[in-house]
Amino acid sequence: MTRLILAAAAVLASGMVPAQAQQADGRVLAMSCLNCHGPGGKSGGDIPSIAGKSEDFLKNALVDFREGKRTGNSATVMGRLAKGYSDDEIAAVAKYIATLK
Amino acid sequence: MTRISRREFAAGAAGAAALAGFAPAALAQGRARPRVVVVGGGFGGATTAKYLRMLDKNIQVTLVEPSQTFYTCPFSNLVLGGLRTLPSIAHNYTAMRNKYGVNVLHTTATKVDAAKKTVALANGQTLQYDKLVLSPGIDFKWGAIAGYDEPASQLLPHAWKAGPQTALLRRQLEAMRDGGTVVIAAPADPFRCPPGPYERVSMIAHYLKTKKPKSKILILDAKDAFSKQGLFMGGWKALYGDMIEWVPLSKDGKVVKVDAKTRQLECELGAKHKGDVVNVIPPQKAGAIAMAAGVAQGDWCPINPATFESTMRKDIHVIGDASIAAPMPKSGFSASSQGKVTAAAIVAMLQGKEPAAASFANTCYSLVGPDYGISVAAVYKVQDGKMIAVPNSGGVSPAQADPAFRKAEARYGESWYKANTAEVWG
Ligand SMILES: Cc1cc2nc3c(=O)[nH]c(=O)nc-3n(C[C@H](O)[C@H](O)[C@H](O)COP(=O)(O)OP(=O)(O)OC[C@H]3O[C@@H](n4cnc5c(N)ncnc54)[C@H](O)[C@@H]3O)c2cc1C
Ligand code: HEC
Repeated sequence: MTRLILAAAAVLASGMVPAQAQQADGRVLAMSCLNCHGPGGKSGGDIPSIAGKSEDFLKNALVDFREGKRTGNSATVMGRLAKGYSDDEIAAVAKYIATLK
Repeated sequence: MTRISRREFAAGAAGAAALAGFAPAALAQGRARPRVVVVGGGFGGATTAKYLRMLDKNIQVTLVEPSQTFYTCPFSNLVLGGLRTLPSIAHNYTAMRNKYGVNVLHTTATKVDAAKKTVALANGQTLQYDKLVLSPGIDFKWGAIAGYDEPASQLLPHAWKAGPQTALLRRQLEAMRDGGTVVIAAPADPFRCPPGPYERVSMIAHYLKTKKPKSKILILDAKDAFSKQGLFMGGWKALYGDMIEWVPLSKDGKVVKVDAKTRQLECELGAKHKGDVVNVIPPQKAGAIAMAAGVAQGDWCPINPATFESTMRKDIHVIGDASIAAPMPKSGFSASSQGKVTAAAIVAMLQGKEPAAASFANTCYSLVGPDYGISVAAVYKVQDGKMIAVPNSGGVSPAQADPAFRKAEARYGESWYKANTAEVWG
């Protein structure tokens, strides 16, 4: 909550329209994941499926990719992509994807 | 009919200032069912049509696309290399109709009236819209290279729209003698698929190495640097020795004139080259309907990246190759990612709500050899009204990697193709 208020204050101070202080939307964040992980998170190819995984598994995996704890041949592209998401965004996207069965 | 358009016209004229980019109140209060027309059934348009219906069944979506069959440019280079067949990269609109309830019209959009909010079609119909999405892809700037017009492309194929042109270039490669030279003229930025010409060189090299090993490939380039350059060049050296020669802009690589009959090319400073097979990738611009709709500024279409609404015409969204979305590249992945965000934004706007924060991604996989894949990836968002790549995210595959890594990326590229085309047409 404090974080949200601080973010809003920063936004106002920088003169941006408040429209930019939007909350991370799990569904919108997840949409581009499916271009690789497949419709509904079911891949059907060599890229692993992400449907049917728990919120914790997804969150931890994304953080591990981002922090370089998964490397080499087991992180060909996810390390580069996971660096594009904040903690809040990772939490939101993991929460949404965990609803895909 | 007349009553509806008059009311909409009035709302548009009177409300323009007050509405601040959001839907008329009549729509927010649930007036009948909002109508969205999508022009272009490629990566951007088909994704948008499908996602609109997935996100809100109340919206009536009409997709206008002349072709019954869509051949993807992605993996068309593999057809040239002999790793894929043309039917294996064909997609259709059956799921769009039957699974998602999109009204698909196989015809061409010819005119847009932004004030009346109508689209005229080549089949004589006129469609009324609340929101219009244009994803027409590219058109070629015929004549920008002297002598390269549409008839010339029957002799020197561009193969930059997949289908018959891909088949033609493949036939020419098959007919070429061993020891021949393939010349590829690559355009300056910006153009559709920045790594595309170099993946094409790789796939043609693979074909020649296996079938016609004495042959050469000459790239005449209108620029001095290209996408994933270090990775491509490293891969070429490893797999194809010195079969491939690259002539950059600064070494007189820019082709300014061609003679289609003799297959001769002339560069800016006077160098002349002749090929046994010549592939000219001409300079490009947004598809003609974008110009007709008045949403282009020069060759491409300026948009608000949060919603991909045109900055020139309200309630017209332009996505994919036709839009100015840099630093996002003009790719099928980008177009699809933009289509999804646009669909979500349109659903929100039609309900009088504020769109959620936009988030995009792109990854372009390229095949250097059958088991040698490389990629460039990034995540994008909107900051201060501008599209940005999220700092410190993305980048290209490592310069040093073992064969297993390259092989894994080759297989992931295949997996991407399957997933992405299923997201668009499945
Ligand atoms: C050789 C090559 C390789 C590529 N490889 C990759 C890759 O590996 N990965 C990747 O992500 N991208 C790749 N691309 C890029 C990709 O093909 C394009 O970026 C993508 O197609 C853009 O999508 P779009 O929706 O803007 O246009 P398109 O997919 O071209 O769709 C436009 C559609 O609009 C229709 N249309 C045009 N005008 C009208 C009109 N007036 N009325 C009705 N319909 C109309 C056209 O018929 C067409 O079907 C490659 C491109 C090439 C040339
Ligand atoms: C360019 C294609 C691509 C995109 C886009 C992509 N992924 Fe991945 N993902 C992969 C690949 C490939 C792997 C295997 C690990 C590697 O090589 O990086 C993977 C692995 C994963 C894993 C680990 C799965 C497991 O079982 O260990 C998770 C979780 C994941 N991705 C989530 C996501 C999420 C969430 C997004 C969107 C924010 C996303 N991915 C976007 C290609 C992609």
